[in-house]
Amino acid sequence: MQNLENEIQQWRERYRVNGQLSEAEIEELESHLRDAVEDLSGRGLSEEEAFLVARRRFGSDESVATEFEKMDPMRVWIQRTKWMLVGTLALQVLLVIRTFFVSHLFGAFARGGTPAVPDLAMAFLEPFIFTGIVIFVVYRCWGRIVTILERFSGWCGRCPKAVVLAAVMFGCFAPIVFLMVSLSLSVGIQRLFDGSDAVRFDWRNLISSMVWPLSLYGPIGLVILALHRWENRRETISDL
Amino acid sequence: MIAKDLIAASSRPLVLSVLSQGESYGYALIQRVRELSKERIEWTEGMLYPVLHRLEKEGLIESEWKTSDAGRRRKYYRISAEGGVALRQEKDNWIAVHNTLGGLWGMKPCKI
Repeated sequence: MQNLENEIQQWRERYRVNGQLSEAEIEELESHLRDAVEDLSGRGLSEEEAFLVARRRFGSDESVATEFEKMDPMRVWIQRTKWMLVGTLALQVLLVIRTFFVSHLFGAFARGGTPAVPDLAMAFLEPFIFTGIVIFVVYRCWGRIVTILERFSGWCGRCPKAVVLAAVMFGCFAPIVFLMVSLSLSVGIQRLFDGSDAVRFDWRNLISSMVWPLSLYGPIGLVILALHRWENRRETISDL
Repeated sequence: MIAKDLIAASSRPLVLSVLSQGESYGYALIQRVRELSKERIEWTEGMLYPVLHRLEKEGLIESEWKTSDAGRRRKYYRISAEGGVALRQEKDNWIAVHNTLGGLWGMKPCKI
């Protein structure tokens, strides 16, 4: 019995990760699968055998999802657009990290005068170094990244509004946090190395640094949120 | 084996007709149609549920989640008043096709 529950959980999870079916649709399919298992068990098959036969009758996950997609192609495109925008947002965050990386780590070392690397050479090499680091991290942590993405898309299916809101907030505020960190670091580093106060850490600086990421990422975040709500509204039409 | 297109085309009147005899759920619908067709019409889940959801969107059928005595949840479908009207139209169309073929094959025409 425990085994069957595990199998059904895994089966569900695959559909959920796939992301093409709504939670209500998956639940209906699960109910169907259980009906089939019950029916086949009643005809003398063991529970494992019954599950295998029932699952096989379902056809592959893709074929079921494709049939559903035919019914509502719009939903698939809402989802695709949403993910593209999530990607865009992630890219923006990555670029902010990069800016921080360039201007404050390299810049500080160069200004600190430790190695005599000309600024021009550094500017030329930096994209290669940064891309190399990103590729290295992705290569080393690929398994973990996939798990996180799967969990995220599963989450999106289950408790959508809260999660998306959190993602949008993160998208809006992550750059602010990076900016504040980099701003205060730049002040600290400059003081440390040459004792000057060239960059002033005042409220005007802070407000302007908060406004631009909001105006940059806010609209993208709002579109993602709108798409997500639209998608959910479309799902609930058939749930009610 | 009946062609896929014919199975797909007949799914709509079949669903409406089975539901006009009382509410039912996905698995039972497939079983009932298989039984009635003497196992010549074998629906797949991937085919049935999109049809059910489309009919529901069109307002021809209604659905409701119910819990059985054993604690199992199932989504039951029943025909709506609009569905009844659509079914009469479907009947009319299918009998027209049936009688055309029957006439060519020397069979007696049937009426609603």
